[in-house]
Amino acid sequence: MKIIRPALPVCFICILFACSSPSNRRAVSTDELEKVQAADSAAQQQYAATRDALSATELIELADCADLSCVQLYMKDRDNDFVHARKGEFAALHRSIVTDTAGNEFVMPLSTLYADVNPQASWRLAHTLHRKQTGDRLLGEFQQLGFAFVDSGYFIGGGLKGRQARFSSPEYPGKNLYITATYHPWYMKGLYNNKVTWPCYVFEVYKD
Amino acid sequence: MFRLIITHLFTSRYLLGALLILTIGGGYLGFRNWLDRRTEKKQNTEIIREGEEILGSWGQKSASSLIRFRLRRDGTFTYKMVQYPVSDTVTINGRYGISSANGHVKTSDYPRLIAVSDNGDTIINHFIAYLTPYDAAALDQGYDKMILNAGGRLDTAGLVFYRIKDIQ
Repeated sequence: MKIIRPALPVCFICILFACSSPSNRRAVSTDELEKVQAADSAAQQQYAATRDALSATELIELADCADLSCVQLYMKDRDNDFVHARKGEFAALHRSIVTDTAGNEFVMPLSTLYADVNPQASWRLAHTLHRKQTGDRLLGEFQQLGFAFVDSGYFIGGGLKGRQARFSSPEYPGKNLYITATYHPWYMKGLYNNKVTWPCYVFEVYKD
Repeated sequence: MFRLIITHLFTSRYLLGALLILTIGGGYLGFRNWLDRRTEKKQNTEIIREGEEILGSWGQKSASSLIRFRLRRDGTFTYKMVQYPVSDTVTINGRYGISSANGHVKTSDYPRLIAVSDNGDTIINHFIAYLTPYDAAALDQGYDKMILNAGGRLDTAGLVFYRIKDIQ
């Protein structure tokens, strides 16, 4: 009894403290809201995506990959900008507006990197850009690396002109760049599962 | 036989110990619940517990506006918005609900916070992309945060709200 009596108020205080809600304690006053928001967005900034597409050198390096695990390993270092959405389907994390030929605006990633992982499919790794400007910029990067037009051939998906252009560079012997402007970058896959109404600019680099 | 089992059970130290712990735990939770409701009533606020992190007052301030809303336990909400440079406050009252994925709907679009005003206008119909968990002191600079996306899970751009002290 001697111990219980002094312990009672202590227990009561302990219970009262345990009753406080951590969520309620983590509230900010309206005056400080702006400051907290700024600090939080600055902290988030280091994880924010900084670009919408891969660079030419990265695509050239990816050409050395012959299977998905190699691509996954390569893209793992770039997971700030690209997300591995589904098996063999990478997409830019940042989303922006893409306008289709009817003038409709869609919010979507400006680029994807898809590999064909279907059984019996031959290896295909395509970087598809959804804006002409980003496509032109990437083509410019390749041209700076010495890639020049070699020839063009029929594109199985039916490009805008039904053609696929091949580029090569003396600096990268044995590596060829294929560019197609098309509405059928992939057959029923990921983002392109339904009817694609916006022009896609497909970049593929392969090693002979 | 049955009596013997009962007698044995009630003389078991382990069982009595477990019963004592259960009673203390239950009593504590009951007491806390009673105290919470009493405080809520007296202070006109929400005491947040595990699983009800969405309740309470939330705010977002930008150069052009200050948005605050309060989600009450009884399913009603108050939404207040100030659009600068005019400092008039638009106040909207209504009811809200959390819609979760069931049946054939896409899970990537749910749970959604849907708030409808008394006039029948939809004020909020957003995917709850993130909510600071109850016991997470080290997250989000020490403040509770809620991110609402206009579309579904795959939307990267979201509206960020912070739990605010001021009661709306």
